[in-house]
Amino acid sequence: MSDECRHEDCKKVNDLLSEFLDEELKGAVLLELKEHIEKCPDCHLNVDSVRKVIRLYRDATECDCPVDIQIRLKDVIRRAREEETGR
Amino acid sequence: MDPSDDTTLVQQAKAGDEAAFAELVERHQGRVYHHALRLMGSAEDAEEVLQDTFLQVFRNLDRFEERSRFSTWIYRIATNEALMRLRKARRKREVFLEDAFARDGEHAVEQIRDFARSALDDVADTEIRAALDAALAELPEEYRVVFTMRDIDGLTNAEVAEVLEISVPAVKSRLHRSRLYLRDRLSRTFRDSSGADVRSEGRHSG
Repeated sequence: MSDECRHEDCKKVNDLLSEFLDEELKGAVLLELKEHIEKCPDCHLNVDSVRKVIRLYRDATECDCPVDIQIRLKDVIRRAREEETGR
Repeated sequence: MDPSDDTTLVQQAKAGDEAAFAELVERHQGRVYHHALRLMGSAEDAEEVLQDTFLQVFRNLDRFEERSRFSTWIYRIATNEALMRLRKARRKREVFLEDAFARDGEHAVEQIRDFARSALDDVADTEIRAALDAALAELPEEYRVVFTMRDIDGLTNAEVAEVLEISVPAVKSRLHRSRLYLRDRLSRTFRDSSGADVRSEGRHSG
């Protein structure tokens, strides 16, 4: 841990890191955390690396369904529809 | 995705409009498939989840009361389908929890330093993608499902809580632990690769 920070503050950053990144913290807690993160290189890295992980996963996400799977899905739904109307 | 458009399509599909139902499938199949793939880890299992999810949507659409978004309802069905299969397969990894999360609050600064300062921006790189998938696959399903829905698929904490029928604080707790685990896990992976696969930004601590 860096000289400027107390271990307790670093632990607090670690505990509240997700809420900090999700912008759920407010008021004095937020200010205190921000102030500490700016001063403490280790906490800065801690926050930055988690933010980076989230971004990596988001950027790597594919949204398209493979075409053969789409075709089979359509077929499954078509058969279900036929069964229903056939009843 | 505009939820108001879903609402109109849902109403049309409920009234028997086949084209509207096909449009709903078209809109959501990709997200459902990749959600299932991340949870199941195999394309074959993910396809089964996808098919069973839309069969349930087809059969139960008239019972969907539209209190939540259509996408949330589909996620609930898909997630339940996936978790049911995973539980049946008894792929539980509880032991992992104790080991992996034991380090909460004492993050490995040296490992993180390497990771945070590497330029891992080229996510098209297949090795990075494989590392992301491998790390995610190590999470127990109850954590993986939360991270996937919240951080990858972009659902809110409240929506994830609704889908999984757990409290919002439970979602937040699982999300936080998942994020820290994935960060630590990826830090180790990329540190071990010794820069061979990860370009350094050239910044070094003094």
